[in-house]
Amino acid sequence: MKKFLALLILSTLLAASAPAFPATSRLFTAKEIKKNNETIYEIGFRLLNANKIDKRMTFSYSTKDNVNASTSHINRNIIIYDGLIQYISTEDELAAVLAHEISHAVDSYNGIFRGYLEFVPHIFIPRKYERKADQRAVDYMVNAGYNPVALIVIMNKAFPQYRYEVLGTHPLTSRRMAMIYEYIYTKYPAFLVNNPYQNNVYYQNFLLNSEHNRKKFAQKVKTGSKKKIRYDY
Amino acid sequence: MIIRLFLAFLLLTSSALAGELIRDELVETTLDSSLKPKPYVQKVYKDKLVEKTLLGKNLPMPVPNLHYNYADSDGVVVKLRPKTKISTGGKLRDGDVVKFVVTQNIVHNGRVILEKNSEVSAVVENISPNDRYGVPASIVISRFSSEVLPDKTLDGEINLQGKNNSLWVYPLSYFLMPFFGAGFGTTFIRGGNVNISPDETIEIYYRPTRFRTGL
Repeated sequence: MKKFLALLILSTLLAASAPAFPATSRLFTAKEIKKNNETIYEIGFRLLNANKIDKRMTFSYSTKDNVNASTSHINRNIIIYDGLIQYISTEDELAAVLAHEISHAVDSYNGIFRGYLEFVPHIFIPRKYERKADQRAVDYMVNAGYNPVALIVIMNKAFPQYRYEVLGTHPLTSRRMAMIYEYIYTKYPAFLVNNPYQNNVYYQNFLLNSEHNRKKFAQKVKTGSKKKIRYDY
Repeated sequence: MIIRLFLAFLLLTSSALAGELIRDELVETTLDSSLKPKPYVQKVYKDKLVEKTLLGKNLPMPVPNLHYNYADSDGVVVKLRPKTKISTGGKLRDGDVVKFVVTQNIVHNGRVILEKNSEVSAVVENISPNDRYGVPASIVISRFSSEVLPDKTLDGEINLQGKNNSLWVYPLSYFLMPFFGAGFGTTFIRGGNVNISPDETIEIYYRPTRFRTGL
């Protein structure tokens, strides 16, 4: 009986001290990822398999300090740079970055000449494709068992906030996060109700800085409107 | 010996060399010395929208596709046609459900598992409208399901893109630029929409053992 009680107390203490992330999300440091790039490949291929993506692509790590990840339209190699790795602390966050890039790589297979000229519309309206990649990233993460809220977390943590997006290749980070929030709310609301990132300092900051945009979305939910929201700076 | 004496001299006079500390007399004379700054407590922001509109509802967590068996490449072709026209130019939004109709009886192991004209649902996973500079619209439809078949046994995805006019708009805009910037006029040329008419046939697969759930 004493042993049983001791075990019960021990297990309760262990459960209480568990990190505030879901069981699927391993915690790791930039050093660990750099030491073992296998983590990047494993997560990348898990995303491909779980999403039944039958297009080939590869993953690699670069020591450059860009806070970025990129996809080569020529050979469909997805590169994650050391500068961005420094910001990543969970498996969900790494999956978020890779899932976004996978969407670009899938798009590179569309169109004539095996997608050779697919980069042309990306030059004209790049932000449209970034929005699509953000949304697809959410889907890919959910199908592979990752928490899509991590996409907001990594964006708020690592991506800067420019003043205008007219000449930019990406929408403003504040708008991207609001759009992702809306997408998760609409398609996968369970992740916002059972949100292990609720008390995460970066997610808390998102709740703080996105209040105005979330109010706009709340209005849309209230009225049942299907109109696209123009989120604020 | 001289060095040691010099060091001892330095040590003795160091406090004098360091100078006197400047005291804040105003604070000492006018404020209560027992006052202490409050410790920082992180404010927890709550998501009121989620609390108001989602909390308490029965929202099942999506089941990930982690139990797959790609060695199983057998599948029975399921031919479908849309019940109504599917278009990216219409009112379709992400997450909307679209309906299809089975065009012929689907037989597996000598048994009809899906009858002709039975209904199959699918989800619009992503819809991206057409845009300026001839940039095409695109649509992704997946998660096919039927009421009479177990979950995740219908396997397929529709991933289509409209007519990509940017391939000729791009050179045209460059060609027209020297003529008083007329190339900017190409801004208004839009790309094609994706239209799937009820006459078109779409093929997906019935794969009873490829994906497993509830493990």
